Amino acid sequence: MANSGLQLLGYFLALGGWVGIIASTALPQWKQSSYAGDAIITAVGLYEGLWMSCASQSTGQVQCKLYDSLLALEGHIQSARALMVVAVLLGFVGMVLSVVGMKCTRVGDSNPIAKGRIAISGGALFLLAGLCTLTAVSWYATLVTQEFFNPSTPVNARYEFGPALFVGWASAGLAMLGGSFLCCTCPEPERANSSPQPYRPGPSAATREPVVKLSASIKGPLGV
Amino acid sequence: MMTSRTPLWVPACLYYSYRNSRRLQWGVRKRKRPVFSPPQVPEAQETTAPSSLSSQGCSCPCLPPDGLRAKMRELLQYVACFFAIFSTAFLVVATWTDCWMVNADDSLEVSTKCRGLWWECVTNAFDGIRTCDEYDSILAEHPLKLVVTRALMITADVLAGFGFITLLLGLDCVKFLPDEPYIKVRLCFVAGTTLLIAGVPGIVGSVWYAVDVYVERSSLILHNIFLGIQYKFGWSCWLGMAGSLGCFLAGAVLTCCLYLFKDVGPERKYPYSMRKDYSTTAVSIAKSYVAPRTETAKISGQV
Repeated sequence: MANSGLQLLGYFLALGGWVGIIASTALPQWKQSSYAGDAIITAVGLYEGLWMSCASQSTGQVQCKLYDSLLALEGHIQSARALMVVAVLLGFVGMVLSVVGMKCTRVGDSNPIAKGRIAISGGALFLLAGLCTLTAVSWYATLVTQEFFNPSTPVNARYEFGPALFVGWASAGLAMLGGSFLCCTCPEPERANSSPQPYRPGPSAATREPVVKLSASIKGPLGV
Repeated sequence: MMTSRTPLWVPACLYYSYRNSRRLQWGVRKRKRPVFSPPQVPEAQETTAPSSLSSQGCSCPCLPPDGLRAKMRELLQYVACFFAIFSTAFLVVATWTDCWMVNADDSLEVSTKCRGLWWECVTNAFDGIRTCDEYDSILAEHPLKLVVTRALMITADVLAGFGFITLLLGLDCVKFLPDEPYIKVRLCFVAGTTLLIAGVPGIVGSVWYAVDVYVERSSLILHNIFLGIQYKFGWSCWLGMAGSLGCFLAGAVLTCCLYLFKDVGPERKYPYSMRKDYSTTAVSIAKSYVAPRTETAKISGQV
């Protein structure tokens, strides 16, 4: 039961992580214009994301523009896009798989070993999704940092980390934590072998004896 | 588990001991029909084991058998779950996107103008720049239509989400409270009712908004006033209506159709979830009972 609780906890952590991954993929604030340095008070805040760049006016208007050309984009944005989309897809498959594999559902109850394996593969997919997100976000953050500390960048054109990066880090951590919880619930081999045998009530000796024979004959072909 | 299984094997054991005693008492008669006893065995199992389950099925022959009804019930739950997840998603998306009104094609605009519950966005058709402007602060003066639609849509979102989670807990394939089928079925009913209630504010909000937009437009046309821009309702509004209808559908399936498949007897009120527990046991009992009976049949045959 504790095992099942751990699975549930892992699943919900990973679910939260997956939602966060989607949010950080869609958010346009991967980097935002920095007000460091000479502190020129600007009426416009600039954001850049994976899909669009935005300008937020002090009057409350937000102007966004999708990137025009796909092939003219910088390589790190393209690879970050690819990694994030792969992470979202992996998370989706992991979500479906771990619903099937978790102990709190009745699907495939007759084969607990396969069920456990499905749960573990779901957890592994969540781990992979978290790793993809972590790679994309950290890579982007590294480039933003390099650009910031590059002396040839003009002071007013500097960008720093946006909220989407932090959301991405947090959700990668959640997905990896949840995935590892799901992976932790490995079924022990001897318990897994004994559990598929159905419960047989038999208070009278007359019924109990053949039951033992029957279970022995069932065990025989399995090689146990 | 124990309590739910007892009624199955108790009559079986009783029957078995009864047979034993009968064999002891009328051994001579038993000897006469060793040929009949083997074919009698499966028949006896079928009558003893499921009779405690399917006694109700006999009372009303017009209904399909219990197994089919259990399947139907399971299917209905999944259908309702499918509808519930999509309609909840539709409602949430409709609330937070900003295309409740779009400008109609006959207006003099080169850009697409969308007005939502929270934002107003203009997408320029030429350079693709999308400018969004938030409505003023929430305490500022808003048209009543906007405020009420916001409130209705958020209520619908919350209710639909709550109903969906309740439905998830009440599904038969989720091992939540596996020993209490009554509570599980009741959870399904609660989920259905909540979804039905959630559909009401959703449909009221979206239809009201749509009707308002339509009335505004048609009155402008009627009075031959041309303001330069005319609105029709956009895809968010359609999503809201679709989500509310899906909520109604899921709620109706959960309440009405499940009610049809609910049984009447006091101890057999919810046979499906009890039967679920039985299914493996019944097979194993049937298996384990084949051996003693055939053996006894052999013994009686030899005697």
